[in-house]
Order: sequence, then C-alpha cells, then structure tokens
Amino acid sequence: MRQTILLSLACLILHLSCYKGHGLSPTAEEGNASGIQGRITFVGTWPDSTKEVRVAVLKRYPQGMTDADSILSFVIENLAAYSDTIPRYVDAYDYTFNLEPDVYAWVLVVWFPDIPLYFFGVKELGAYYQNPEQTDLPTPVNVVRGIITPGIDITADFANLDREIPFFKRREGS
Amino acid sequence: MRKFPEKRLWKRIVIFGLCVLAVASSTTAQHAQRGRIAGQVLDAKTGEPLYGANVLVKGTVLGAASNADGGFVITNLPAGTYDILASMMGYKKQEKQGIRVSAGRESTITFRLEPTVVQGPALVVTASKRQQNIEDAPTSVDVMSGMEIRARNVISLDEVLQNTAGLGIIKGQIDLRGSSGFNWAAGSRVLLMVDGHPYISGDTGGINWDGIPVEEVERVEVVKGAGSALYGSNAMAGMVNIITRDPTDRPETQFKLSWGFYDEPSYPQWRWSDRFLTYRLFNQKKMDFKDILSTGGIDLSHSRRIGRVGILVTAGRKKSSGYQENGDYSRWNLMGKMKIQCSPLTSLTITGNWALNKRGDFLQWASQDRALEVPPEALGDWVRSEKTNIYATFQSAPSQRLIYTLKANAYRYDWENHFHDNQDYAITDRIGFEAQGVYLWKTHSLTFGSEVTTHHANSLIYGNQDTWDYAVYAENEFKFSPLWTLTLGTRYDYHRIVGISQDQQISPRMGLVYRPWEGTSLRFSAGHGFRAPSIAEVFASISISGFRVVPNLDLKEAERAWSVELGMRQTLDLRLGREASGTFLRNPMKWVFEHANPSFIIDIAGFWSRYRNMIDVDINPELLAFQFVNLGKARNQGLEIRLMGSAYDQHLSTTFGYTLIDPEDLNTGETLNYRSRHRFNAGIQLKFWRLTLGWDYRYASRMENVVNVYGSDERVPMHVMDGRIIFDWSRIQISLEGKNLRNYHYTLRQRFVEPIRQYIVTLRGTI
Repeated sequence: MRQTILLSLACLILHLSCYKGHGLSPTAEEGNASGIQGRITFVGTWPDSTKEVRVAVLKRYPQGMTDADSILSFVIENLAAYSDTIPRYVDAYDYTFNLEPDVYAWVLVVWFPDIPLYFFGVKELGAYYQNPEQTDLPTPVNVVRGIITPGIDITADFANLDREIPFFKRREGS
Repeated sequence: MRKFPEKRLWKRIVIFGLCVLAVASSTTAQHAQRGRIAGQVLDAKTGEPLYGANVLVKGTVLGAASNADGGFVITNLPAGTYDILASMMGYKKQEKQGIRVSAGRESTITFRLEPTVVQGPALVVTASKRQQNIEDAPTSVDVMSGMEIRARNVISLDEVLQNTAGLGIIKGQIDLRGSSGFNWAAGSRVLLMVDGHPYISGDTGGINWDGIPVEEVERVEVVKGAGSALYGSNAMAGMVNIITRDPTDRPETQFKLSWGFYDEPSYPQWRWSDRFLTYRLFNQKKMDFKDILSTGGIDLSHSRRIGRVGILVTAGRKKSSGYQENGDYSRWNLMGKMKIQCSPLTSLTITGNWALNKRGDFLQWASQDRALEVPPEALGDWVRSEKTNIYATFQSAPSQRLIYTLKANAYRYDWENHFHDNQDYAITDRIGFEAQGVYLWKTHSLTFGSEVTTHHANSLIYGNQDTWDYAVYAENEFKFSPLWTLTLGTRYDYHRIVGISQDQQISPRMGLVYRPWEGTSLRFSAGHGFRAPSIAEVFASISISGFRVVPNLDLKEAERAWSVELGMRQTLDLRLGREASGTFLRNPMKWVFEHANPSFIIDIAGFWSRYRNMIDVDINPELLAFQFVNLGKARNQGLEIRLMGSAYDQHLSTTFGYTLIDPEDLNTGETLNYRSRHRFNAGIQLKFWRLTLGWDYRYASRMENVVNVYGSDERVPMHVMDGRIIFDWSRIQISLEGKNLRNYHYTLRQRFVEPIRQYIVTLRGTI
C-alpha cells in the first residue's frame, strides 16, 4: 500500500510540476475582431533562402528609407505590425490579420531571409493596390473596430527580391 | 519486364483452399475413436463460473474457451495422458497434470482460478501470430482490455490507445516509440489489424479509426518492434491488433447512450460560436440544447447463438458539433459477425463492418488569435468517407499438433473532398488472402504461411493504380530448455507497383527469452522491417489550400529498418501484512496495510532501430510543391519503463509508462520531425461499492522539429488529464467522463488545436 501511495503521490507531483498554464495561447489580447483579410498570390519560385513570409502593415509610408533599419524603427515606434507566418512553398494563401482599428498606409507582403539577424535583409514582395493596374502608390486601408475588412488581395512576386532597393523603396509624393 | 502470372496464382489459391477443406472434413471421421475432456472453470474465491477462460491441452493445438456457465469441452483427443492448462485475464493460470483420456469416454475436470491482483493478460496472439503466453513473447506487448476501453467512453479507439506507453497518435496515425511523425496519413509504420486482418486503406496504407466498432472490442494488443518477419510491409515498427468479441451463447442485447458537451476555450479570443455552454444558460428560462456544442451517440448490439451459429450484430450513430469551426461530424456504423462452429475443432467466422462519416475538415486555423476558427474561405469544407470491410477466418485443427487458418479480407475505402478549392475523390480497395499453419512438435512451435494482397486505387488524384504483394513466411519457436526459448523466423515479400517498379524483401527475426524463475522474463529480439511505398506516396497529385503535392514515380524503394530490443518483465507479488484481520473502522491504518497485498508488473525495455531509405514528405523547391521521397538514414533509440500495479483485490489499479526517445536523422544530425523526446502516461482506477473512479494523464514533450512551412510557429508540450466516475447498478451503468480537464491547448500538427475540455455522460445497459 505504501508503494501505491508513494507512486500515486509521485505521479501527482510530476503532474502538477509539469503544469504551466493552458499551453498554447493567442498572441494578442482580447478585443473586438478588427483587421483585414484577403488572398496572397505568389508568383515565381520560392528561394531556398526563405526564412519566412508575413503580411506587414505600416501606419505611414517610410520617408526615403532604404532598408532594414527602417522597419526596425517602425516596429520600435509601434508603427508597424506583422501577421503570423505564412506557409512557405504555397501558390496562394488566404490570410486574416487581426489589427487595431487605424488607418494603415501600406499593406504589404514581406520576405525574411534565412539569416540569424531578424529584421535585416527584409524585402517587399508586393503590396495592396485597390487597382492592380495602378501600382504607383499602395492603397491605404482603414480598419474599423469590430470589422474584418475583406478583399485586401496582394500579388507577391519573388522577382521583386532582385530589385535594387529591396524593401522601403522611396515613394515619390509620399 | 516479364508479367507476373497473377491468374495462375489465383487458381493455386483456390485449389489449395479446396484441398485444405477436404483434409479438414476427412479428419472428422476419426472423432468417434477418440475421447474428450469436459469440465468447468470457476472463480476460486466466489465460486462463480468464468466465461471466456482459455483451456488448452499442453503440447497440442487443442483447446476450448469456457461458455457462460464456465463449461468447456475438448474433443478429438486420442487416448492418453494430458496436462491441461486454464488461463484467463485477471486470474492465475492453473494446470492439471496427468488427465487420462480413454477412447469414446469423457474425462471431467474442474478449474478453480485464483484472482491475481495484476490484471495482466494470460495469452496474446499477435506477437508470434499464434496464441502464446505474454511472458514468452520476444518483443514488448501491451494489452488493453475491452473493459478498460469502454470505461473511458471513447467515440474512436485511437483516443484510448494514447494511454499506452510510448504510443502517440497524430491525425489518426500511430507513432510507436517515435517510429512515425506527421505525414498527412500517407503510410503507417505500424500495422493495424482487426481480428488479425489488416485494416489499412488501399491508397495511403493509412489508418481509419471510424470503421472500428469500439463497443465490440474484446481487447487490443500492441506489439512494439519490427514485425515484418511475420506481417510484412507496414509492420516495421509494430502491430496493433484489435480483437472483437465473439457472439455470446445466450441472447444478449446491449445499448449505450452518450451525450456530452464542450467547454469554452481558455481564452475569450478563441470563442468562435455562441453555441457554447455558458453559465448564462442557467439564468435563461429554458435551456436550449441547440445552444451547446455537443457530442452524442447511440449504440445497439444483439448477440446470440442459434445451434452452431453465433451471431453478433451492432449498429451505432454518433454526431458532434465539434469544438472548432468545421469540426462537426456525423457517423453511422454497422457490424455483423457470424461464427459457425462446424465441429469442436473447426470454425468459420465471417465479419463485416460498414461506416459512413461526414465531417468538416480544414488544413489550418485562421490564425493563432483565432485558433478554433478556419480561414473564411474554408468554412463549410467537408469530407465524406465510406468504409466497407469484410473478412473471413476459417480455422481447423486436423490433428492435435496442427492447426491451420485460412483468411480472406476485402476493404473498400471511398472518400470525397468537398473543399472550396478541391473536389478530389478516391475509391480504393485492399484485398488479401492468407493461409497459415501452426505445427507443434515436441519443443518446437512452427508457424508458417503465405499471403497475397492487392491494392487498387481509382481516383482523380492517383489515377488508376494497382499494387500486388506476395509473401511466404516461417518462424520456429524452440524451447531448448525449460528456461530458454529461441525464436527464429523469416519472411520473403515481393512487392510490385504495376507498370512502375518491383521490389523484394527478406525480413528475418530472432528472439530469445530467458525465464530464470516464475514471474521473471528476460527477452532479446532483433528483426528486419520494411514498408513499401503506398499508392498515395508514389502517385498523389493534389492541391488543397495552396499546398501542392506532386507524384514521385522514382519512389521505388521500400524503407527498411533493423530493430533490436532488450527487455525485462518482472512480476512482484507483495504481501505486506499477516493474514487480514479486524475491520476498517476499528483500526483504519492497520486495515489499509493488511488488506493491500499489492502486486506489480514492471517491464523495462531498451530499443534501437536504424532506418534506411526512410520515406518522408519533403519540399521540392523547383516544383513549389511537396513530394514523398526516400530521405536517407535515420536512427531511433530509447528506453521504456512500464509499471502496472494493483491492490485490494483489484479495487485499486495503476499503470505508468515512460518512454525516452532519441530519433535522429543521420544525414543532418537533426531530431526527426514531429517526434517528442519524452512520453509519460499514468492511470489510476479505484473501485469501491458500486463506484469506479478513474484518472488518466498523458504527457509528451514539445516536438523539437517539424516540417518548417510555418517558420516560427509556437509549439508546446502536451499535458492531457482525463477523469471519470462510473456507477454500476445491476445491468445498468452510468458514467461521467471529463476529458482534457485542465483545458490545456496544444497542437500535434501545425495550426490545429487538439480537443478542448469536454464532459460526457453515458448510460450503458445489458438486457
């Protein structure tokens, strides 16, 4: 009997010691569901050097920035947000991105290289344009509380990785 | 390439079958010149007859099972002197020596079996493809009784098998000691059988649990380690054999009604429906069950014997709204089993089951912040599947040393995707025949046989494809001393994918068991296993939710593995106090101490496997798609400790299991995908008065590696705790079961949350 009790206790202790909350949890606090959703269509070949791809939103256009320094500063200043990682090697992906209500000047798909430094070497694959024929300026998106705004479709072209100014290319007139 | 003469082979099978039947019928003429043994098996403590006890004539294949009155008859015994062994789960074996049998006369004996405190199975049938004592099995064997399964109120058998040491389930597929990860159900390294007949689909070689009638399961045997020497492809890491109960002698009708509901998830963000049971409901004037995410089911079965024919018919209906979007299902299942006892030593059993399942499905959640929701476009996606399985077993013992079995089985799996972006379908068949014999000669037990299996798939995603498998096998168990048993065997398999490739395998196995004294068993086994690529792995061409899988016609080689196990099994019967005296109220501590009489079985095993040409899914960056490929070499090793204990005349029983797994991809040095390094399970059951309290706990450490399509997704370990209260009253049983009581949230494959907290009430009865 003593052995049984000891074993039961050992099991209980082990069980309790392993207990750490509820396991997997949401990444965001509770709130009304607000955000954007749409389809990302990938064009071209996924490079082997892909670490991950996400949807990013920026509250304002970058001013003359060229690369990764800027995105880091946007994150620090709480001017940028990133979605969950998008599955790699897919042709298309339907995303939903929960966001705080606000106006987001730039909704884009960003590519992260497989390097140890995060936010470095990040590049733009494509952005949201209300009229895909007019790609001079990305279309701002107004996210309203309690509403998931649909139809924010983006074409992500891996050919964009070879562009000279990889990520925050200067937007004339912005 | 020369075409294999399948038609000629069919002819030979038919001729062989007819010859065997002729031999069987001729032997019955000799019965009159022989004697028989009849008797009864009783519980030594209560004097109650024991139903289902095995009574065997030692050194022969002859035997019988006791009926509802505990009675048994063994016929066809030549005059002589015999040793008779009676055994039953939960009782100590008993042997009666020197029973004399005279021609034309009946000898009578009575067995009074002592209950044993450890609920261990006396005999198993899967490890060596014949009935044997579990302690003589050269590999690890776990047995779960039907009673244990039914106590847990599961809808599907895989839910309860996860309480077996070292066994995990990912998307319905079995992972035994780290043998398999998540592979989209394409190919199982563990062979699932029902009554010894393979129950794997013709296309993927995967496992479908919804066709298995949980209520009719008598026991499940889980054999760990390479089993290809007897079972061929798919058994490279082990076998799971589900044994259904036989029809009863007396008319018996059973029913089961169950209803349950899901609790809310732990996070408000994950609430996706107003149909949760919330405390608000109790403030409403009228409770509307439509507001509850529920699960329910009804099962009915009837069993009886009419003359020599025993019949078991069962029907079930289960429905659930699920705990997540697209998580609903609606299932129907029917099963019929007919056992014809042609003569005391000859029987024919024909079983058929059919299952229809309509269920919601999806690939991945909407987001981690909405983990119980699906992407909007996937809402309403569903799958329809239908499984029809018919199998027959003819068994006869033409002499006291030979028993042969003829098996035939046909399994049709028919499914249709009704996805927003995919409408694929497949109709797949698996047809198999097997002839098997067991010959006992002095200290040898020779098991031999041959098998023919064909798989056929007709579908949008595979096209029209066929495979053929032919095999012969033989294994001899040699007891070269009372303490030592040596097993040597091998199997030859020929596998052909019509029009693509052919392959052959030789799978030897060696086992050695040493039993130095009663209750101790040391075992060693080494064997070769293999798994031929399934139709799905070679031909699948499918695209769902942006993921594409493309065919790989170069996938010609089977994956192979050498496996070794060294283990020890020890039974410990402890008497802590003197003869029990006094009452509980007078001296509780003394009573507790004196009445415990605990007993344990401890089983420790070290295992090692080395895989070659392991088949796994990989990303083909050039094609922007996934593909099944021969990856290379891998090694899996570890240690497993199991402890089964019982005390107070089985009123308290416990099980513990811990498995340490070290699976490594030898090409990269990385841990294999979707494997947990540590697995632990525990169970405690306490019975008193009419009540049974049960508690189960399962833990699996965080998977170190997964196929990295989602980058940095969070992964957590698994901690699941279930509890139950059962009230027995005469022929009625009411139980309350809580599953995942801690409402712990975890994933076993990416972006799919496993079931949240659920409560189920069940009413079960026998008429």
